[in-house]
Amino acid sequence: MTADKDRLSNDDISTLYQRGSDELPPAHLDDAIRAAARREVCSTAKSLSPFAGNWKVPLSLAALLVISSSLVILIETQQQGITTGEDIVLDNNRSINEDRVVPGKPRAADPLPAETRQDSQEREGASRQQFTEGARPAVPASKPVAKMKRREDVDRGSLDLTGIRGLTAADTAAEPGADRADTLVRSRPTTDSSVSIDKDTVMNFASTPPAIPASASQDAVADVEQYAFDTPEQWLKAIDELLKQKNTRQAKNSLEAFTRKYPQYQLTARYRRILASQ
Amino acid sequence: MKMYSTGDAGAFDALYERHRGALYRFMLRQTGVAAVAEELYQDVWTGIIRRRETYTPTARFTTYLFQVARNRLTDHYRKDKGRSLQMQGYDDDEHAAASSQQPDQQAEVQDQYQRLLCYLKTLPEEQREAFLLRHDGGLSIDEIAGATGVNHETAKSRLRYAMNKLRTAMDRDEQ
Repeated sequence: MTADKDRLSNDDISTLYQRGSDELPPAHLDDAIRAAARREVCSTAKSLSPFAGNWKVPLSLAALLVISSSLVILIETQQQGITTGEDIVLDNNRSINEDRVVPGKPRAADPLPAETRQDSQEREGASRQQFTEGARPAVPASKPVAKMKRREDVDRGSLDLTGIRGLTAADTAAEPGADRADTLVRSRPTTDSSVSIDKDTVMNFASTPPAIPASASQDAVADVEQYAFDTPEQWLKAIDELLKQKNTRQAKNSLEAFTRKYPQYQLTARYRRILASQ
Repeated sequence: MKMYSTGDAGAFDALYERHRGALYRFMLRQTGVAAVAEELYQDVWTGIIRRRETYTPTARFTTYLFQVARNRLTDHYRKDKGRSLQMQGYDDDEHAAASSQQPDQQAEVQDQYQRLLCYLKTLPEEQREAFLLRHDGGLSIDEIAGATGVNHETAKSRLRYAMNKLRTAMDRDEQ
């Protein structure tokens, strides 16, 4: 029994071993290993940095970034400038007209180069085509009375049509996708019996030159024509078309509207005769 | 280890501090020569540092560490087979000298420990390895099996044989 008691167990062996095991690696070895670990981390950090020690690559990337940003900003500005360009074209036309009104007066310097003006006109033509070929914008009915102030309003579809005679807010608040012409045709008759705009009129209004309904009031014609033509020349061309169609009354109405719009425009004798006719 | 592999040098310091003693003792017991143990010990840590990016934590880091250490020892034995045998054998004179220099109880424990180490050297390599992995590395039977590439029963049997032999030798000394 005593012999059995004195015999060591597995736990005794383990305890004895653990108690005596206090050997540690020498300090210089620890330092060397720790230093190696730090060196390795530092070298990895350097190698992970793709531009370490090479300033040309980040500089090139920065330059690329700046150029790209500038291009994006420029493009955005140009897109916004479509509207601005139209204004400039209109202003140019106005100044041209003013030049014509006063014969002998030297023409004012063109604020835009010829290329810019041409671009703006092309964009204007494109936007007009977009309107006539299928853009069917929703028409808001927010304002009680409005006029077609600018062509850009027409092109954008943000035009408030409630100001046009014979149309009410309910008519102009057409469902999305409804044809603009249909919307206009579906207008209810109002107390102003002289106003009657048919579908052809609206379609013609959308295209250039428009056919002006004979029964439309003078003001309505003026409203339409005043903003349907960009230049007096175009307007006169449209009047010529009316004359070719033997639509003298309508041509006369249009001419009267023209003279109201451009009172100082020097009309030819032919137009003056029409205006003077009864 | 994952933190160190992502560039955290401080994580390595903590890891090293936790395992330095156990690994060093394992190498020392396995080689029997301090200089060789130090060289292999440094090799093991250097290898772990270099392979930190490919380290995938499939098991405990301790298991991985001792597996690397064992592989390094195997390489060492293969290159220098004759020298590795010098650890075997028990130096009675050395043991006697150590015993005589420690008269008190602490000295007796130290004496027992030195004798245990000497008997440990006499164990077959596989059994000694199993014993050291268990007691220095703190590995379980399964982890020992995984680190040495044997099945659970073999690892368990090696450890049992090692313990029995050591106990028998120590008992014989006591008598």
